[in-house]
Amino acid sequence: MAEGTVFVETVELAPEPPPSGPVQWIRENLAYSVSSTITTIVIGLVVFFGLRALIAWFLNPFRKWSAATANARLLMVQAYPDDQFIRVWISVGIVVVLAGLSAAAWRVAGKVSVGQVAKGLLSVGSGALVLALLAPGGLTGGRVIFGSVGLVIAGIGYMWKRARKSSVNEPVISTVALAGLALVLIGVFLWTVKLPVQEVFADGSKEVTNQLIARSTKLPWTVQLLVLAVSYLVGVAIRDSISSLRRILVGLWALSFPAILMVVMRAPDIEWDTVLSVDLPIFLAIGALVGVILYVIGAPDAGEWKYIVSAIWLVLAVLWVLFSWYLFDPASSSPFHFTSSAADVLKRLEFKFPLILGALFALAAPSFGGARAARLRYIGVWLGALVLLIMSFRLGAASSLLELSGTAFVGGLSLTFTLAIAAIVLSFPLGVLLALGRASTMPIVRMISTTYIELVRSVPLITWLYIGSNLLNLFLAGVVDIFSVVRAITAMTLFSAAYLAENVRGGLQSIPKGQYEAADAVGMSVVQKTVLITLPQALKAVIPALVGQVISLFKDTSLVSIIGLFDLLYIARNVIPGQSANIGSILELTVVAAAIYWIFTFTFSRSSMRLERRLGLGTR
Amino acid sequence: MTTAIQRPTRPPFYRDVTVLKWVFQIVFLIGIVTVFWLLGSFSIANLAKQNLAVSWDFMARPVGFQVAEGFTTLPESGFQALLVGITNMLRVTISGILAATILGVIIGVSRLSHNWLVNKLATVYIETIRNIPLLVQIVFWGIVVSIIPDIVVDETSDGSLKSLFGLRLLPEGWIFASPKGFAMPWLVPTDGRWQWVGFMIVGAVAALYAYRWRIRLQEAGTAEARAFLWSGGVLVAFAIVGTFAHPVMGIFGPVFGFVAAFFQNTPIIIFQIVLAGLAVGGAYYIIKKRLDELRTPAGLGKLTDDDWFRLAMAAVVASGLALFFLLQSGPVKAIVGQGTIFGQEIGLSQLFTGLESRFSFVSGAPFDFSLPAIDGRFNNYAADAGHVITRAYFALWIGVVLYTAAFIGEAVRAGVLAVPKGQTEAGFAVGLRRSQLLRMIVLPQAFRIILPPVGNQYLNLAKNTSLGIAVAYPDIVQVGQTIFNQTGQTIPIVISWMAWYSFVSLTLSAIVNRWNKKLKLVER
Amino acid sequence: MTDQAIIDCRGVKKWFGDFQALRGVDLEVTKGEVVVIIGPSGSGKSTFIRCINRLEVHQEGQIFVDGIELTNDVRNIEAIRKDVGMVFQSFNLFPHLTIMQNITLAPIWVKKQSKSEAEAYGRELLERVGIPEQADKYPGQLSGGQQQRVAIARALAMKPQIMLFDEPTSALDPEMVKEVLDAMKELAKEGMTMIVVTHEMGFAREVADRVLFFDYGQLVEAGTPEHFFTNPQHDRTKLFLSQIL
Ligand SMILES: Nc1ncnc2c1ncn2[C@@H]1O[C@H](COP(=O)(O)OP(=O)(O)O)[C@@H](O)[C@H]1O
Ligand SMILES: [Mg+2]
Repeated sequence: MAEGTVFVETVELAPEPPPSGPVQWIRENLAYSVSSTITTIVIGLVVFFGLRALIAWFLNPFRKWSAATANARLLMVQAYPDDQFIRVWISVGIVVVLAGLSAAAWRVAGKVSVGQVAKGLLSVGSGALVLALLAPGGLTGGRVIFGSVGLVIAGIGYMWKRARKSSVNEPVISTVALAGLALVLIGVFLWTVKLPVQEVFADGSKEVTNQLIARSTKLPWTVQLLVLAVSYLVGVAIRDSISSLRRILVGLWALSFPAILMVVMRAPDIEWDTVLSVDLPIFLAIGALVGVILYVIGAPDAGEWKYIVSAIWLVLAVLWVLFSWYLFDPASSSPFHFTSSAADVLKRLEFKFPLILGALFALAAPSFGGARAARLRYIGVWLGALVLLIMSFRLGAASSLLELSGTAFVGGLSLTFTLAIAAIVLSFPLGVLLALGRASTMPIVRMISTTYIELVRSVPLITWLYIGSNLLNLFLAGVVDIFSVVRAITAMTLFSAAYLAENVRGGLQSIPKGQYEAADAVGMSVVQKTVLITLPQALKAVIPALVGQVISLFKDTSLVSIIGLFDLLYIARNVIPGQSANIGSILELTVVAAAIYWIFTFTFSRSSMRLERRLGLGTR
Repeated sequence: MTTAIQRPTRPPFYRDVTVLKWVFQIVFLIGIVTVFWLLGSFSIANLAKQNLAVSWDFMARPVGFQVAEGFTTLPESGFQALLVGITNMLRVTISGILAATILGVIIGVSRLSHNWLVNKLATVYIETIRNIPLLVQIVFWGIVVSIIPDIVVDETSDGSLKSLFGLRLLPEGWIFASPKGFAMPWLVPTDGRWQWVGFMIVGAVAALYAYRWRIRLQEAGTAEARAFLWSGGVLVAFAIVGTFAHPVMGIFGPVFGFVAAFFQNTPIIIFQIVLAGLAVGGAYYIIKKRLDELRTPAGLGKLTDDDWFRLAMAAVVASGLALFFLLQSGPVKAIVGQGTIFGQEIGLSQLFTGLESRFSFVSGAPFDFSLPAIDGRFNNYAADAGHVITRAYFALWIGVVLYTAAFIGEAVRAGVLAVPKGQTEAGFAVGLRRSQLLRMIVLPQAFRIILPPVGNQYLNLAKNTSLGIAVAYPDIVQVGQTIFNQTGQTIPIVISWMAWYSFVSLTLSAIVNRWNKKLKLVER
Repeated sequence: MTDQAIIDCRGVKKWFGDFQALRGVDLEVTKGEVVVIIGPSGSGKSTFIRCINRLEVHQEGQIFVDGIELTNDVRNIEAIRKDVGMVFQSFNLFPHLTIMQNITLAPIWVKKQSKSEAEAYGRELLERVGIPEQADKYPGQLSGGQQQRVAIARALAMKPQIMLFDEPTSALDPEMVKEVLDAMKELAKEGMTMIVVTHEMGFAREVADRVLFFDYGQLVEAGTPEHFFTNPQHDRTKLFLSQIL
């Protein structure tokens, strides 16, 4: 430019779109340098041949996938009596209803953009297309159909994205509509899509037939889908009028698990005359007596005597339970000869445990009592807890009405879930107590908690399961013949509590010192400080870690197959391949079991990542 | 301004916070002890009903079973059987940690790759492996091995394994595969190996000094360091020279012999006193250190009840230990080798006697290269021929390695991402290439962040080897379980398990912690 | 002890391990008095006022608050904490609770008031500190000055006889200092007994009945604000004042 020349822009430039398109994409992501190109080619070849081999293995006519599909029920619930199978569907239904209501109450519905949906379609479609192209073998009809469906789906995604160029990232599509569409599609598939199933008969003959995906369960599944949709709609309708819906749902979720396990699936033989002649009097007497005591003790005036009385009460009640259990067993002449069944023991303890519970309530009464209304509410909580306690004793002592062919009324995947849920639920309070103990200022408590946590964590779970299955019976044989599932749950609970305690401790450490000081400065007691200030903050901070632990506990349940419990893995690995029709199907079944575990853990971990993002954690 | 010292008034004891705190703790302790006492008496009573008493006799007695693999397959006693289990566990743990680290770093770096294919492949790997229970994976690998047909590489005509494009890759009879496992050539250690290992220890020290020397040179500015190259070179030189020169180490034989004789012949009371003295001295050191921390120019600071408790605990534990050593000569005898543990003579004296015989100017190569010698039933009929990887070992090893590598990969990725972006940009700005940047700038910084979670994964790997029981791999859990099925001695076996795993955990976490501290020091 | 002395400290000493943070402090505060404590950083100001509501435990000497001695007695600790409110430098609001919940938590659970009663008073207090509209927000949504005013309201909700302030304005941006100081002045006018650690000399001059100068864990000089700002006696006081004024 010559000196003095002034440059003046006369043309106004319109913004250009960034370079895009498949070639550009490849240039940026697969071949941005020589070495990356070589890597891409080498890895690409490996992936190509690997995938081809995998597909060939899956589609090989010698694969016995039918061993899994024909035994789907065994994998899910082991051997539950046919005439009572409706109980399984009711259990699923309970979960489905709660899920629908919760989805509405927590307002999970949102909006997604066209871009996101189109991207999903594009990747699903192109994935299917790639699989169809990669599969070894000739040009069969199934392959053409599969490939072209993939092509169409991918095409729709691509075109849609292009058509919505400018507004592609605006959230306009309701996820409710998408979910509804998915439900309808699943429903239609259940009734229409047929897959070739090869059945091998005992005499060695084979037959390939086309069968529906869920040939014997299409009706119940359809009902469950409808129930899900309806309960969501109901939830939407009532969520504005019932303000405490979320709290109610949390309570229902908590109750649903024991209710399904103890009542629905187990069909307990409740002796109603005992309930009327024993339980009700116990409830009324202890409930009222302790209620009155709580009313007095909860009154807002000073006096250490309340603590002293409650503490003595607690010690006496504990001693009574321990020693009546140990020494003063009326049924035996010597302390070491017990003839009692689990039911007997539960009956004998039935009204001693409420006394311990009452003492604990009394100890906390000065912290949570107060004005009349607060005290009455506290007494309400006490009565509720008492009902739950007595009910669980009654249900635990009741025998089951079911005639089972196996040893347990849960097996397969439902046992896996039972173990995981029971262990995590039971280990939660223990883990929190251990964490508080380890963070406490009291050296002996701290030492005991630390020893427990470190010892449990350094020894692998399988040894704890052995200890549970051998030692627990040794400790308590004759007193209580502990059922093998309960032994496994006990071992997993004690194990998981130690890990949970470490997670919670992390949360406790993350709370600034100022929080404790502020609570002290306004005069809170230790219990109040813990329940109202520390724990809520600590637990919120460690939610991701806790979810991670739920996931690993879920995976760890597979270890019970080693001690001979009929969980998912045991049935897949030992039971089904042992049937004469399914000999040689063990690899297929292990792969199926792996896939089932994978689906659940993957879903958990993805949802926990979403939860984390929603809580605003993990962002820097 | 003040005159007389006034102390706060003491409240009545039942309202004194400190008193209440200790009363609560003591009641709590009594409660716990009571529960354990009750459980203990229940179990003794129940054992008595089965005519069993808790006893450790099985440790010394012969066991009536064979162990599938290990340094011996026919253990002479329960103790030796458990030792086989322990060594088997260590075999998988150590090789597993090495392999999982290498694979994990590769996975982690691939997860960060800009290459879409590599990145996706690593992601798929992690998401698949992490979300399937390890036990299922181990079982899966066990089944996979059990269905491979017998392959003797070379004699088959399909040529799938022995050659590539007509090029012969492996000579005849090198690799065998069968449902029972794999066999391959190996460097089988021979008698001279102990002297060679001794030689290599000297070599390692030399390599360390070479490393420091090069670093010093570089700091002085005289030469480029190339420290790794130098120390590696020294090691290789020692390894090669050692193959021939290792008999030199025989000079240590008499030294070991002297030490063995010392442990054997010194009166036991001296060792008892020394050990008791060590216990007391340790406690004295701890208490003194603590008090020194609290000491002021003006005198001792105020001790809280927590301080008092710690000091008292140290004193009580130390005097307990000292009394134990003084009153019980049995365990001390066993440790120095004048007595037996579980009927075995495995004390310090025996250790040094063994070393003496191994450092006796043995000549010949430390290792022999040998091919597997496989008979029709896939037994390696010559124990020192080649190496057999059994199905159980392979399934367990590949299972824990793939599983742990996925977690290590995630840790590596998280660590690398935690390095500030400015570091990368500065690295590019001074003209480093991506690979150089990763190696020289990012990884060293990420290492600090990566180490704690990876240490945790090592611990998990060690514990997860116990899952080998699902494929009948004879580790300590499996062997222990076999023993208690035979003898009914549950409690001793459980105690052995706990002792071993606690030892492993404590050792591993001590190593990781030390390393961590060292890195922190460097940081400052 | 004089009759109206609501706080009476006699030879209070306090060690942190080997370090002596308080070397014998004597102080009497009468009801309704406003005392401002100044002094260099690390001189033991915070430690001293934290001893008064037993966030720190003194090891020698005696402290009486409203006639009750501070000892290890559970009963006394409970009683004192209800009587002494405290405001911290870093607010220390409970992040998981709304403003209203922050204020009513202690009255409901510690003082055992009914919820409606506590909320009514809470609303009044928010009115008084000038942020009635923030009741349902969470602490994270408020500015520093607003948070500190909530902290004052939270302490006042227990209807304490004495208020302790530990550098209430040092964590605030300059433009927010005034709103907090105004709330404190208001409180002083109403006759609250206050001990304030602060370096806001304007506040000291205007409101304080007495100013104390602390150094090396000792009460070095005490006097009226006029005395301090016109005629300090001790060399260390002079040095310190020359540095900050
Ligand atoms: N918890 C504690 N542990 C050890 N030393 C402390 C602790 N709290 C305060 N100190 C020390 O006590 C001295 C006085 O602290 P502080 O009262 O906070 O001073 P100020 O508030 O006057 O700045 C300081 O030297 C400080 O380091
Ligand atoms: Mg301060």
